[in-house]
Amino acid sequence: MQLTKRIHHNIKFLQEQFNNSTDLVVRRFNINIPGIREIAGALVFFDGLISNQLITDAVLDPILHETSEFQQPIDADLLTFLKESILTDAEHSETNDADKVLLAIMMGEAALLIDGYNTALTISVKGWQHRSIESPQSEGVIRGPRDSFVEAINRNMMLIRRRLRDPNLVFERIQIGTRGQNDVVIAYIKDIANKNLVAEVRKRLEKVDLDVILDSGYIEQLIEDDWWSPFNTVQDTERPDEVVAGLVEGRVAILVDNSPFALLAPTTINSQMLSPEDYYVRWPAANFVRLIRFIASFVALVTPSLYISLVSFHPEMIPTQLALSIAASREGLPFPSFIEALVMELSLELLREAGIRLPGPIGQTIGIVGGLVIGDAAVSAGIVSPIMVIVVAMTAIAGFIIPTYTLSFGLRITRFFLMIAASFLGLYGLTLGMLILLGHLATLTSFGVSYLSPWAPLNLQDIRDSVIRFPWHALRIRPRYTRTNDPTRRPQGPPGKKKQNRGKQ
Amino acid sequence: MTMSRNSRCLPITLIMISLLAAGCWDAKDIDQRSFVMGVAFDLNDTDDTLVMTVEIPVLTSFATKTQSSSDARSLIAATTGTSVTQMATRFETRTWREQFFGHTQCIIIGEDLAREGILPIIDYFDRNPRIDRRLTLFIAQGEAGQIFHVKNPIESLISIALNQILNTLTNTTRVVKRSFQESLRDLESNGDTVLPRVRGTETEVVIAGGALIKDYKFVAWLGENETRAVAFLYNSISGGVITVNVDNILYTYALRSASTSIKPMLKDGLLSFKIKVRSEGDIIEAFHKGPGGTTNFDLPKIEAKLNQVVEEEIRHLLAKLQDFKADPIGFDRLVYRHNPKYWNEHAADWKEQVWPQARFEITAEFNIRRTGILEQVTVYESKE
Repeated sequence: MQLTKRIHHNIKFLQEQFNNSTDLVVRRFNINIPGIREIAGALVFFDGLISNQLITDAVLDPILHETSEFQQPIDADLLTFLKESILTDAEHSETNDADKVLLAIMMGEAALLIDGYNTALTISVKGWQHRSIESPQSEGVIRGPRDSFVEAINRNMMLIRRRLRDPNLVFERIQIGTRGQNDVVIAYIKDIANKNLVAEVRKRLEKVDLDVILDSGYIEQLIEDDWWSPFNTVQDTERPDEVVAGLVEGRVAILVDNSPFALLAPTTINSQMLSPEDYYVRWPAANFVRLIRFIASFVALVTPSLYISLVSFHPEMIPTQLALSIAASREGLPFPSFIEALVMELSLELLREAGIRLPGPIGQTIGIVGGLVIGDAAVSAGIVSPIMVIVVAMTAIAGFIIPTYTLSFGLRITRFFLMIAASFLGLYGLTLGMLILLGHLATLTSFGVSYLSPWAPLNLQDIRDSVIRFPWHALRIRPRYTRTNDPTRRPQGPPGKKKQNRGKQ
Repeated sequence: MTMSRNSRCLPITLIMISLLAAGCWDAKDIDQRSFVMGVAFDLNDTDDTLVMTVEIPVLTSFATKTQSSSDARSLIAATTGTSVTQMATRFETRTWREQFFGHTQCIIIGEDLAREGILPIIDYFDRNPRIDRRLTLFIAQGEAGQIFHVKNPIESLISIALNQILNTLTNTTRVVKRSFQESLRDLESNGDTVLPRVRGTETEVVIAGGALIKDYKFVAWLGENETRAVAFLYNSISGGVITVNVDNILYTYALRSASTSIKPMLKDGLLSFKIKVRSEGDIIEAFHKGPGGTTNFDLPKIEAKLNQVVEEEIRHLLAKLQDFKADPIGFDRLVYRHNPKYWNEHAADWKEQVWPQARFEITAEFNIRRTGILEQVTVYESKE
C-alpha cells in the first residue's frame, strides 16, 4: 500500500486504518515559506505515546516559525529542506510505505504528511509515562547495585550499555506478535558469544508465533528446550548487572518490551543458584553463603518428605529422645503424618499466594495471622503437631533462600511429588523420587547445554564457580559451558603482582 | 510423535507401578507405636514359662515440659509366655499400639533364666532388623523385671538411665562396654562372652562387674577387678582410674589411652599368648595414708607398681577363665587367624583341651605422661 500525493487522502486513509480511534491525533497546519504558496501539512500520532514537549520543540515550532523567517525562496525540495534545515529532532526516516507509517505511529512516532508528497516523514518523538527505575523486587542484594529493569525496553538497553562500554555489545531488535508487534531485543557480545548460540536464539525467536507478547514469560515458554519439565531452562532476571555478567560469560540475553524481566540463555541449575552478590563480597563470605544456599535448597526440597518417611516408616532412625518427643507431640492427632504435612504445606502455599495478591498493608497482616495465629491455634487445637509447624517453617524459609524465583517454583512443585513418594514407600520412596528427579534433571538441556553442568558432565574448570566460588584471580577463564570465542577473562596470577620488568621500562 | 509419547508414558507408568503396587504395608505413624525402652526376661516361679517385663514411656508426660511429679512417666507391664513373639503380641491385646523395639536401650536377662540359656531370648532380637544394635545386653543379679521398678528420683526411665550410665562411664573401668552387636559377635563365634552385671536397690541401679557366659549360659560372676582385666583384653577401655599403693601413698592413675595386643605363639606344639598392655595416663591424686610421711617422688616405681597390678589382674582372670573352660575374649579367633592349620587340627577340642593348657606371657607398660603438681609437692611433717 502506498501513500498518495493528496494530504487529505492520506489523513483519511490513516484515520480509517486506525478506525477513527479516539487517541489518534491529527494536527493540521500550514507551512508558510515566502515565495511559495502555503502548503498544508499534518502531524499524525497517538496521544500519550509521544512527548508533547519534544513534538513542540523539535517539529511544530521550527516548521511554523523558522520557515516564515526565510526571506528568499528556497531552491530545494520542500521535504528535503525541512529534513535538513528545519527539523531539530534526533531521528527520523522517510517512507512511502503506508504499512511502515502505520507501524511507526503505533510505536510512538509522529508521521509528518505534507500535501503534494507521497512520502511521509516518521519522526521519533517517543515519550510516554513509565515507571522509574527501582530496586529489584525478587532478587534483592545488600552489597551491589540496586537498579532493576523497567518496562521500557530503551531504558533496559541503556542500563546494560552503561555497564558495558564495548562496541562489540550488540542489540538486535525484532518484532514479535502478529497483533502486538512487540519489540524483542537479542543482546550479546559479538566476539564472546558463540555464533551458533546466537543463531539458535534468533531462530527460536523467529519461530515464536503469538498475537501479543505481554511479558518475557511468553517468550521464555516458547523458546525453552523442554516445556514438559517443572524446571525452567531459560533464566529470567530483573537485574541488569546479572545480565551483563551473563553477557561477558558468553550468554545471550533477550529483552522484551514491557517486561522488567530479561531472559538469559543458556542456563544451568548451577547458574540459577548463584546470586550476583556472591561476586561482590569477598570470597570466604561468598562461599559461606553459597554453601548455606545449596544446603537450604536441599532442605526446602526434602524436609517434609523426610519427616513423613521417618515418622511413619522408620521411627527407629530418629534419635531416641527426639523420637519420644515427636511421638508425644503427635499423641492424639487425628491425621496421619502425610495428611498433616500436606495440609500444612498447602496452607503455606495458600498464605504465600494470598500474600502476593493482597494489598501491601493487608498482606503483612495475613502473614502474621497465617503464620502465628493459625499455626498456634492449629497446634493448640490438636490438629497438627508443633514439630510439623517447625518443618513447614523450615521449608518456607529455606525456599526463600533460593535466589531465582522461577527455580524455587520448580522445587516447590517437586517437593509435593517427593512427599507423595515418601508417603507410599518411606525412605525408599524418597530415594526413588530423588533418583527420578536426578534422572530428569540429567536429561534437561538449555540451548544444548546440560542442565546439571558443571557437575554432570563434570567440568573441572567451571566447577570453580559453583558450590564454591574461587577468588577472582583464580577465575581466569570464562565458563566453558557457553563455548565462548574468547575464553580468557584475565591474565594469569594473583592481583597486584604485575610483571617484574614493568618497573624497568 | 509416538516415540516421544512412549518415552514419556513409560517413566510415569513405572513410577505409578512402583508406588501403587508396592503399597505401604509397614506405614505406621510414630504415635501408633509403643516404644519399648527396656525389656527384661525372667523365669516364671510357678511353671517353666517366661516373664517378660517392658518399660514403656508415657508419651503425654513428655509432651509438656512442666509435669507434676505424681504423673507416672513410664508404664511397666509384665506378661508370661513361652516365646518372645508370643509375649510381645500379648501386649498388643492390652494397648492398641504395636510393640516397637526400634528404640530399645537395654535387654536385661535375669540370673536364673541366664543360667538356663540366653540363646532363645537374643535370637528374637537378632532377627529383628529394626533393633538398634548399640543397645546393651545385661545380666541382672536377682530378678531382672525388678530393675524397672527401681524408683529413681532423677531418672524417669530406668532403661535410658542404664544406657546413659554405660555410655558416659569413663571414670571407671569396672564394667565391660559391649554393644548388642559386639556381644552377638562373641556369642556367635564360640558361645562365650562377658556381659555387664546390673543390680537394683531401692532407689538406684548399679552397673558393676560382669557375668561370664559360657555356651550361651551364665556360669559365674566376675568381680570388679576381674571385669577390668576383661576390659583390657577386649581393648574397650577409653578411660578410667587405677589406684596403686606405693610407699603408703595411694596414687590414682587416670588412663588416657590403653591398648592391648595379643599374639598367639606356637613353640614345640605348646600354645602360648603374648599379651602386651600399653597405656598412657596421668597421676590425678596422691592420697596419703596416715599423718605425714615424706615421699620421694619416684615415677618408675609407680609405673612398675601399675604394671605389676595390671599384670596380676590379667593373670588371675585368665586362670579363672581357664578353670571354667570359657573363652569369652576370643583367643580361638586369634589362633584361627594366626595359624589356621593348627586351628583346624584342634578346633574340636579347643575349649576342653587346648585352651585350659595355654600359657601366657603378660607384660604391661604403663607410662605416666603428666604428673599434675606432684613434682613440686613438699609433704610437711606434722609438728607432733
